[in-house]
Amino acid sequence: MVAAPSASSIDPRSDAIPSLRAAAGNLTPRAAADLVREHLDPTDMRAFVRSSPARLIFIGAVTIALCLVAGVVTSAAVSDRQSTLNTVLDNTEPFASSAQLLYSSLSIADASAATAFISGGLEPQSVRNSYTQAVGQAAAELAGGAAGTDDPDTHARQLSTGIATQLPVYAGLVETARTNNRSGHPVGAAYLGEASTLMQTKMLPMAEELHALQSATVVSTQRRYVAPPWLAGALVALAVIGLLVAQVLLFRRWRRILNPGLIFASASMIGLFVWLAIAGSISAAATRHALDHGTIPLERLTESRILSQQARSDETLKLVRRDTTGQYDAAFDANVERLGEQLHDYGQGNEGSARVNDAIAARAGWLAAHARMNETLAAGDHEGASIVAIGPGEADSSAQFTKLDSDIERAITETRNDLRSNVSRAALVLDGLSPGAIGLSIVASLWIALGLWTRLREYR
Amino acid sequence: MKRHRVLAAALATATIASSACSVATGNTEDPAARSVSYTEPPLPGNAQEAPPVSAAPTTPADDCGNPTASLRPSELRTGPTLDAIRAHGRLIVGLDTGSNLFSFRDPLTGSVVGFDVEIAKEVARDLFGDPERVEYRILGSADREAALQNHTVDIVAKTMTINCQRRQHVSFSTVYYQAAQRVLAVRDSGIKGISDLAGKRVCVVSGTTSLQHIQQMQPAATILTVPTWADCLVVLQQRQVDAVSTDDSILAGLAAQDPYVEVVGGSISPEPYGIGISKDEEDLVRFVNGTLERIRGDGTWNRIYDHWLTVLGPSPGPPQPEYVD
Repeated sequence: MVAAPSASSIDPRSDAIPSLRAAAGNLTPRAAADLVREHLDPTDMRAFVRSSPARLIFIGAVTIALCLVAGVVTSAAVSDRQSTLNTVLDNTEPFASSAQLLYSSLSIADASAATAFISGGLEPQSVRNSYTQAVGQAAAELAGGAAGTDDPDTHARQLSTGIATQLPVYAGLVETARTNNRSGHPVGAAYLGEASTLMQTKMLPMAEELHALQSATVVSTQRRYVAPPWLAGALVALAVIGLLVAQVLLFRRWRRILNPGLIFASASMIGLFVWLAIAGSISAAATRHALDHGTIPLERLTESRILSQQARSDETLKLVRRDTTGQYDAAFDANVERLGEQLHDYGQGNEGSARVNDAIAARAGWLAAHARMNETLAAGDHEGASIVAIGPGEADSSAQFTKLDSDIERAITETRNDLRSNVSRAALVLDGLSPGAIGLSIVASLWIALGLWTRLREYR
Repeated sequence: MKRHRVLAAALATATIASSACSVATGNTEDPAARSVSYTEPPLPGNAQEAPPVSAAPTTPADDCGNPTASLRPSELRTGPTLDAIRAHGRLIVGLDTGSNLFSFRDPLTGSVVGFDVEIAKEVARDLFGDPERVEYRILGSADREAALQNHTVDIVAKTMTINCQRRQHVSFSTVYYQAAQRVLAVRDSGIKGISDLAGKRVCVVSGTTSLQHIQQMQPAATILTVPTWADCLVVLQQRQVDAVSTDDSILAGLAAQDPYVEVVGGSISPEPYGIGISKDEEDLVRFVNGTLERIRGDGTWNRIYDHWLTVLGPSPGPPQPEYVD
C-alpha cells in the first residue's frame, strides 16, 4: 500500500516538460546533463508511479497477466494430462496387455507341449489345440508390437526381437519331438526337453522382463495423474484473488463500487476455476480408480495366471521326466502357494473378484487332484497318475486347472475393461477444458482492459 | 505414438550430431547391415563342453583284481535289504528314459521299456512273484553311484559298466551284458573310427566310462557332454557334433532312430554291464545274481535279447558269470 497521494500530484509532467524545453536552446552539454538528471530525479518518477492512471495501468497489467498465465498453464496441464491418458488408452496399456498375453501364451505353449507328451504319440485334440492356439497367439502379439516401439535400440524391442527369433526355433523343436514320438522314436522326448529348456531358460525370462517393463510404464504414467492439477488450480485461484484485490483497491481509492469489466472478468475466472476443480478432480479420481482397481489388480491377476501355468508345467514335466529328485514338486508347491496368496489377497469389491473366488475354488480342486496324482505315483502307478494329470475326469487335474486358468483369464478381461473405461473417463471429462481455459482467460483479460479503459478515460 | 515420434526425432538429431563428429572415422552405421546369426540351434539342457583333459593320463584305478567277479548266489531268500524291499512292496530301480533299446519311454504307451527294464522286472518277479512291482527313478549317468550310496534306489539297471573305480563306491552283480565302445557318425562323413575323431566334436554323456575312454584315447577331440544318450542323437542331428561314442548297444539304439547314421570302427574298449547295488548289501547282490543265474539257464535272457537287441545281430548267448565267494 502506498501513502495517500495529494491532489496536486495528479500530473507532474504538465509543468516539468515546458521548463526542460525552454532551457534546451543554449546549454552546455554539462548543464544539459544536469538538467536531465534533475528531471529524472527519483522523486519525480515516484510521483508519476503514484499517479492514478499509472496505478490503473499497473493493476490492469498485473490482473491480465495473472489471468493469461493461469489460462495458459491450465490449458497446457490439461492437454498434457488428456493426451497422456489417451496414450495410455491407445498405446501403453494395449502394449502392456499384449506383453501379458505373450507371456501367458508362451507359458501355456510350454505346459501344453509337455502335457501332450504324457499322452504318447496320439495327443488329445484339445491339448494340441491349446498348444497351437498359444503359439499362434504369441506370434500375433509379437507381430502386433508387444514391444510398443519400432526403435531397435530400446530394451523392450530387443526383448521382443529375442523372443520372436526363438519362437520358430521352439516350435520347430516341438514338431520334431512330435514327429519322432509319432514314429516311435524315443529321441522325441529329448527334443521336447531341448524345446522346454529353450523356453524356460531364454524365452520366458525375456517375456517376463518385457511384461514387467510395459506394466511399469502404465503404472508410472497413471501415478503421475492420480493428483488433480494443483498448479493450474492454484494459478486460477490466484487470478481470481488478484481480481478481487483490484476491485477492493478501486473501491478504496476512487470510491467506485462496481467496475462491470472486473466483475465479468472475475466471473469468467471463477467459472474456469469451478470447471477445472470439477473436471480435474473427477479425472484424478477416475485415474486413481483405474490404478487401484485396474492396473494393480491386473498385475496380481497376470502373475496368478503365470504362476498357475508354471505350476502346471511342473506337474506335467514331473510325469514326463519321471522326476523323483523332488525339484518339480518343490517348484509346484512354491508356485501354487504364491498363487494362493495372490488370489486371497485380491480383495472383494474389486472388478473380477467373483471370478477370483471361482479361481480359489478351482485351485483347491486342482490341489486335491494333484495330491491324488502324487499318491498314485508314490504307489508306483505311473499310468494311473498320468490319468489323474491329463485325463478327462471332472475332478482331475486337467479339468480343475483349465477351470482355474479360464477364471483368471475372465477376471483379467473384466479388470482390464474396468481399467480402460476409467482411464477413458479420466480423459473424456477433460474434453474442452484446454481450449476453454485459454478462451476464458482471454475473455477475462478483455473485460479487465475494457473495465479499466473506461476508468482511464476519466483522466483525459 | 506421438511421444515415440518425438523420441525418434530426438534420437535422429542426436545421431546426426554424433555422425557429424564421427564422419572423419567413417563410422556411419547402416542399420540394415547389422547382421545377427540365427543359424545356431539351441542345445539340450545342461549340455556343456568338457574341459580339456590334463596332459597327464588319468591315473588308472586301483587294481582290484577281476572287477567283474561277484558274490555267488545263495539259497537264502531273505536278508535285511531284501526284507526292507519287500516291506516297501516295490523294487525301486534307477534307470534313464533316453537309452533306446535298454531303457526308454515307449512313445505308444508312455511306459518305460527296454532290455535293462526286463532284467529289473525279472528281479522283481523273483522277489514278489510279480514282475510289475517295480518303481522307476530316472537317473543321469553321473548320478548312478550317488543314488546307490544315498539309498534312493534299490538297484541301478542302466547300462552301467563294471570297473574297479566304481567298485570302490558300489557293488555289482555278475555281468548281464557284454558291450563294446564304438563310434556313431553320419553316413559318408568320412569318420570310420576313433582315429578320425581328432579335431572333431564328439558327444558323450557326462559321468560315463565312455567319456574317460575318449579323453584318454583321442585327446585331440573336443567333447560335448549332455545328460542322456538321446540328447547326443539330438546334437548329432542338429550338426553340433560330428560323432557320438559309447557302447555299441546304446549306439545301435540311436542308429535305429535315424537311417542316416551308422555305427563305425572296431571296439575301443570292452564294457561289461552289471546291476549296481549299494555297497554292503550283500544279500541283495547274491539275490540278483540268483535271478541272473536263473534267466541265463531258463532261456529268459535269450528271449529278452531277441525281443530288444536283434539289431545287434543274433544272440551271442548270456555272458558267463564269475564268482568270488
